[in-house]
Amino acid sequence: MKRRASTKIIGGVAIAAFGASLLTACSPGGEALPDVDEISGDFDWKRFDGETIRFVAGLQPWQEQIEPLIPEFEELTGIDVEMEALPEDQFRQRLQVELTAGSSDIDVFMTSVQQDGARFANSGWYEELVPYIENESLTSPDYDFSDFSESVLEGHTFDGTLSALPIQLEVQMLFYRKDLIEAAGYDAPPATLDELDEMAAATTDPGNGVFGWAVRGKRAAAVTQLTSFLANHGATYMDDEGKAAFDSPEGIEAIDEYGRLLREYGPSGSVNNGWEELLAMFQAGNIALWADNSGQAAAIRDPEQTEITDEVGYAPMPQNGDDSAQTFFGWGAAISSASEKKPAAWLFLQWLTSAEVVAELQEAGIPGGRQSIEFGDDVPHDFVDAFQTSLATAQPQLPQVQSVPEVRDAIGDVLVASIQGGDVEAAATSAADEFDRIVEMETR
Amino acid sequence: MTDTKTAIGVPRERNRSGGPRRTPRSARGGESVGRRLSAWVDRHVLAVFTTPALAFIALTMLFPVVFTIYLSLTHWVGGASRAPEFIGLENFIRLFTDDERFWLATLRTILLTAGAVLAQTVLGVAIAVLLHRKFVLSGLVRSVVLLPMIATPVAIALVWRLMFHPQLGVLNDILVRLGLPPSDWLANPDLALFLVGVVDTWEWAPLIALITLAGLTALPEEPFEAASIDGANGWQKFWHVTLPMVRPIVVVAVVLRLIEALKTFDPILVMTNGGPGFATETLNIYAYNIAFQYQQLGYSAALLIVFFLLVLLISSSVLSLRRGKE
Amino acid sequence: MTARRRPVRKVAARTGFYALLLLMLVPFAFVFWYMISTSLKPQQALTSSTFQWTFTPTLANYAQVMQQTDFLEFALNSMLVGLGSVAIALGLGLPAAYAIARYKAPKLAGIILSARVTPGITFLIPLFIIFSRLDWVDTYRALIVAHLLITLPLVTWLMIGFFEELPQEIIDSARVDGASAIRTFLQVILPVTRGGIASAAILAFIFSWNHFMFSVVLAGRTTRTLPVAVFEFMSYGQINWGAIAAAATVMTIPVVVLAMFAQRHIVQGLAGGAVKG
Repeated sequence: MKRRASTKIIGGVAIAAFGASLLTACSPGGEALPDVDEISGDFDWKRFDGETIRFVAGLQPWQEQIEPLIPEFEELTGIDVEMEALPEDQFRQRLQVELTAGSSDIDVFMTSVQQDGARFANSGWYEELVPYIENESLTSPDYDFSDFSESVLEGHTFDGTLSALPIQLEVQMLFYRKDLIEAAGYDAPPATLDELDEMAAATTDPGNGVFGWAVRGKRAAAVTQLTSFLANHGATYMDDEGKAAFDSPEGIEAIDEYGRLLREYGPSGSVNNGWEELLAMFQAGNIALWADNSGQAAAIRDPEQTEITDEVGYAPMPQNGDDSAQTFFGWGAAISSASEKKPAAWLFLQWLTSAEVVAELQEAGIPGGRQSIEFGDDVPHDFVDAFQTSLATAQPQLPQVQSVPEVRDAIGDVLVASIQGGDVEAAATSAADEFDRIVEMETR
Repeated sequence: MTDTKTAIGVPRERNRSGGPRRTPRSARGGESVGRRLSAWVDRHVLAVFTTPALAFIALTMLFPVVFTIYLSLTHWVGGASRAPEFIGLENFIRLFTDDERFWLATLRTILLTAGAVLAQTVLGVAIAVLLHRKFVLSGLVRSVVLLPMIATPVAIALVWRLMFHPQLGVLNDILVRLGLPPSDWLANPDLALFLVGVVDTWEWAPLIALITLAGLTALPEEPFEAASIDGANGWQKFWHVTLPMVRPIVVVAVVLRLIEALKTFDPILVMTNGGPGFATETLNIYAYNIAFQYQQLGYSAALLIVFFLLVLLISSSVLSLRRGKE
Repeated sequence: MTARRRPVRKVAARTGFYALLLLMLVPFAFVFWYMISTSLKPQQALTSSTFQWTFTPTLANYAQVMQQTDFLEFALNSMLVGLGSVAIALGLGLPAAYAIARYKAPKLAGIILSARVTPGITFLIPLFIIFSRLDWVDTYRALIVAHLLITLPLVTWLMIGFFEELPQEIIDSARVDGASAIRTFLQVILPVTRGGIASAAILAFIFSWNHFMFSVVLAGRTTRTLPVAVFEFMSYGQINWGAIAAAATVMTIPVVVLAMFAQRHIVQGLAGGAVKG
């Protein structure tokens, strides 16, 4: 018996070692493209004619706009792009499984630096982009890298490594129904949270299926939208030492207000609403005032999806004092460090962030982070104004830590308690402990 | 019978190499290789017949399981590009001493399983008794009862999710028509776990019903006749004669359900994804989130091991309960 | 008096019985009615803020599902994975179940069934790592191997029950004829248990068709199975409940047809396994 047990243990160790070697072993992949520093000669879009690359993206208005343009890239380069677009939750999970396993199947992926940046960079999943940008054989002379604002690029840089390039900038803004607030006796959108409170009360009309106010209530999803409320009350997620600060009296006030507004004027079942659900309700005409990220505007303005397009106004997020309560979020695209076709992937990323493509999307109202490019004439002026004034003073929507998904869940749970009318203070205190514990785990 | 015994008693590995050596009889020159092989197989039926299946299970289970055990002793966040860092039992210590979410998820898993399986058992046996009688269209009725358990759970969960929808769903419409206040259903944290249990019961009470029904059909007539002669009424007959006789088969069905209910995944992921807040986060959903949202693969592995032991413990203790009663 | 009361009581009992039967059937049937009626609703009836009981039925949702997604391709994926994993499960599981039943080796059965007790998530990352090293990700092979973890224990467990019920004389008579174990198994045992085999195969196919978790992680763009595809219909914008209901209906139809066709077998299969435990 003893001998058998020991053989079992040895077998186990052998398997574990085998597993560990699987993890670190480089997969063979006979047809890998050369490294970036081995490529020379004139720049040529057709350099990798006949290659196939895989691009993994989240299903979003941005993705919907880029999809019909991709054949232009395929035409230009002869590279085949297999795009896989999944709903956001599934997209995040799929991406992480493949990157965790070290799969070389992904070449280019969408990524949000606020959400994933520090974590992905720490895991070594991003390919450093500067060598590609600086290689004149791989980067078109027309690319004009200096057109990206330095502050935006800084947000995409981790430990001095440029890890992704911006493809979409968003600010939180207020989408409102001009017809509904007019009918309630107002001629302008709310400028402060107190006005918002009043207007939401005035436009709420359950008999006609109209809710005065809506914002996300689903655990993690809601956290990006809470940031402006915290700022409005002079609170932050964490203090200068990186400790949780949202359980301060101001923070609790802010979380309380977030929950109270939704409870009083929001749709029933708010705690299950993410932007997807709210967009559907807004498009169906059930919401008068809705705060969410500006990327949603492209879907609101699509007359094929909704009949209310012309009734929608856009305004910056209301703020009570002089201090800015504006917040931004961003999406970028990156090359996977495990890809075997990095130079071809760079051509695609270069094209995605090129002046022509950014201009085409911004024409349709989706800003891409290039300073020289203006919105199109068809984009409503109040949207452009709201976007630009917000962005000028905006702060990031998510706390700048590594374990963002965990921290979002912890804070989101307080929001759920608040929306339900529960004990916010107790929930905030325990979530703050959780926050500190999570952040402490990062530095071990 | 004797060759049966050797087949079981001798470990497979030794069988394979030792088999031909101790077969002087079949070594007679005239016999073909095929005949000898066939004779050898005849002496090792158990080994030969079970090896392919066991080998497959070993191949597909061994690496994942051993790898999970190994991972549970490490801190591994980076994935393939970084080696896991060995930290001993730290993950387990953290799980048991410093993770409220784990305890709450354990509690929810047990509550959901106990509640749903109990409801399924009571309803399932009741349905079986009902269907055991002869009536018009009984074949059709049985088909309808079969539907919930064979329909794709993801599809069913989506349909329930829509029925529970506070604005678009049919259930609130019915409540309002009855003059009752509408409910938030799955968006109500106090109600969500209960409703997951309702959906699970709806889906799986038929399994217990159909298994019990088959058991009822196979029962002999005599005990019932004897009971009738003794003047027992319908209820007494059910309680004292029918139930004890079908109990073994019901217990098997219950154990099956227990194992599956503890691992309930699709309906929760589809209907609530563990929300609102963490109101429906069971161990399975929590483990999934730790691994695929938080990337804490070592910690998730530790949780999975504890979860596996819990499933094993609960199902085997119910089984031993049954043996004890017999 | 008594003579007259009896029929009254009998009628009352009969009525009570049918009332109970109806009470039991309503929740089961209602969900399916709801699924089908939602799939036939026009979009306006679905997004209006209150529930619509009456509407003009339309097939637009079905058309949308077929046009906007590769629905048939997903269905084919599910079918191939199901058939593949059931075929292999039969090949591996039938002999194993027979030997286990005949030689009373519950420990070996326990090993095979352990795949059923292990939480599925345990397999996801390790299998993904293996498959990506083998370059198997997004292939049918990978999904079939993963689904075998569902179908093989199921087939084995069900068939042990059927094989245990076989009268010893059948085996003995074949033995007397001098048939080898393999021939006895193939030519005597399998034919007499074909009903059981059919029920095990059908059940295993249904479980594979319905399985969700493995395919979420292990399937790629070209091998995605139906449950995952339908789950991913829930994109943004007007969450298209009509299309989801239509997809759910179409996804359910094959298993329902299969189950109706083989209802007796399924119940027998479930019970066969359970009786023997």
